[in-house]
Amino acid sequence: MLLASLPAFAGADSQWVLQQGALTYHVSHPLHQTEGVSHAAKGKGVCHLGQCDFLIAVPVKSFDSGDSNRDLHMLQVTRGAEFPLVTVRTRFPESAAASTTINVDLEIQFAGQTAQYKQVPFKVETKGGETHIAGTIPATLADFKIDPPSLLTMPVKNDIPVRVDMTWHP
Amino acid sequence: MNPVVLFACVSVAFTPFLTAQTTGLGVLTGRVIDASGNAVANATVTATGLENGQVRSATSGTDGRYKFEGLPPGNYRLKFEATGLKMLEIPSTTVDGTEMTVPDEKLEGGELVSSKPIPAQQDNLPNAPSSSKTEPTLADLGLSPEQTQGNTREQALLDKRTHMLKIHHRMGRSSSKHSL
Repeated sequence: MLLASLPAFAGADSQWVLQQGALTYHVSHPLHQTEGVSHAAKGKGVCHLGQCDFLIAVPVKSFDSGDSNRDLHMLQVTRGAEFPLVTVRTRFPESAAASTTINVDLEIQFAGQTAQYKQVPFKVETKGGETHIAGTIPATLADFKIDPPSLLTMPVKNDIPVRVDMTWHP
Repeated sequence: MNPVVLFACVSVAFTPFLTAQTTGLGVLTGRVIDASGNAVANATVTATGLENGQVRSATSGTDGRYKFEGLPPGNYRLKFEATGLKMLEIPSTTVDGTEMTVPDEKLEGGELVSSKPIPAQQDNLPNAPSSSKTEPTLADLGLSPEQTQGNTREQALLDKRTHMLKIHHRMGRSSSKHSL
């Protein structure tokens, strides 16, 4: 989801490509904890006139929790066949990316809904020409109008935080 | 990267209505089509109130139609996004509390022809985007059509699968009760 550090020449246009990324959702149930991870995210960022716009898209089907039945159920509950992508958009001043921690506003589209998240913190680390971004999005099922699935008549918790680990390069 | 097909939004109709409990709220409906006039399903339509900053979103159905209900009167910026198509923005559209009908807007030459007045000074709008030309689009990410296009039939099969599993689960519990 997010974004990268300042380009080498501040003020000049720059483009960023997501080289690799892992998005991991966490679902809590009174009897069980589940995580599903996707390594299929694609992303691009453009910095122009001091403003950066980033877009990341992840196919819903690419999340793997280690149980194909559970993944199919997740796909059904999140309407992942009808709305196959999770998209994340963010915009922020280029100067804000110079810090080791950046707080950005996110617009996420998922399950046919759009949710806004304000000032989500991400750690930024630049090494060897690449920039690594890590953080957690405080998503909930209610944000996307998803009915909490149940297991043994007990519903899962509303909170579904998504951990993000991404590596970007110019 | 090849430019995406120009995306056009057509037929935005305003049908505000009054209710006993919430007077003065409006309903915004419309239809999303592409350059060929075909309905665009799963397009994301975002309405942003220019006065209050409220953001509402809707998704077009298989017939391309979308609907916003309960909109407070005011001016709204509409943004239309669909996989593989260019984003379209209508800088300002007015919703009021009276019932009114706006004629369908026609698509000509792949460009949206709007009968609505466009503010002369768009840069003064508080929430005007700095530059929509620099924003990456889904087409820039190189995703396959299979990854970006929704499949309502597949979703229906998934819904059916879940429904059948629930029935089997109930039957299994019912059988175990009778066997005790």
